[in-house]
Amino acid sequence: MLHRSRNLFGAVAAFLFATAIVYAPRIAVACSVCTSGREEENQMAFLLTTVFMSVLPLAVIGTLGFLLWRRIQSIEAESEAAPPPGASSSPNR
Amino acid sequence: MSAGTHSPGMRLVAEERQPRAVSNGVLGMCLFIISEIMFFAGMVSAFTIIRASAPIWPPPDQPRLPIEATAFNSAVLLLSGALVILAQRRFSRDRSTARVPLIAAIALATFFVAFQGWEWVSLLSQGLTMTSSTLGAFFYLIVGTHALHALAAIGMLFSVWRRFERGWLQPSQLATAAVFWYFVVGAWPVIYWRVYL
Repeated sequence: MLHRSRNLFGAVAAFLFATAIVYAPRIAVACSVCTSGREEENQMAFLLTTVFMSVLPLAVIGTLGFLLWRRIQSIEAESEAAPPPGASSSPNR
Repeated sequence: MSAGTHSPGMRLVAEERQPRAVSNGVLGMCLFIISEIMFFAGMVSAFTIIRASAPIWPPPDQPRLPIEATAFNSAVLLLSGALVILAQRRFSRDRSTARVPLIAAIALATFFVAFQGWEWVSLLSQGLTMTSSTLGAFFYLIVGTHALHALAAIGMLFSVWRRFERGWLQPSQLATAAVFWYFVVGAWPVIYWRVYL
């Protein structure tokens, strides 16, 4: 019962938060960094560099992770294709 | 004595060592490079915003940056990176054939840094200093930081070359130094594009 009421509370809180974001976008305008520039070029520079700095670590770490995963896959494929140790090629031993 | 004669309490298992995906050195260097990428990205982002905020850019009373000469120097740096790739490939096949590209890469890398230093002397004499303008401040900060990284990477490559000549060089050691040099080479076109152009 307590678990259900917690889930319900979380769902209601998430709904109210999403509603506030949709119907009150002016809250974002309070960011002094994003809106301090009076000129469009300055605002665009702020926006683009913010997006750049946010996406860059995800891209770099994701790329490194992907390359490592590919390397592990190739090593596992090689070890599966290689004959087991001690396997004799001569039929009469 | 085979494994089957041991008591049940002592189980000797022939551990099959799986090769590592990357060496510890390369992995550690990659993690360090990630932090350095963010460091350079922060500086370039700050420079981008300052540049966009300026009413006139570049500042009219400051000397122009040597775009053409630096383009030539950039080509030298890229060639150095290609030679390190070649040295790595040759080292994995026939170690003795890696000597020439490795030495050439170090020589070109040293030329790059020396040429940068010569450019700096010229710009300083023309009045572009760290305190003369925001252009000067960011130029010396960003390009100087890159030069420090380049010097450190050259030191690593030189150390690799010394080990190579003594026959002590391991592939993982060469790979670790090479990865750092690839970062230095790869970061430069971005810096050239944002700072010089």
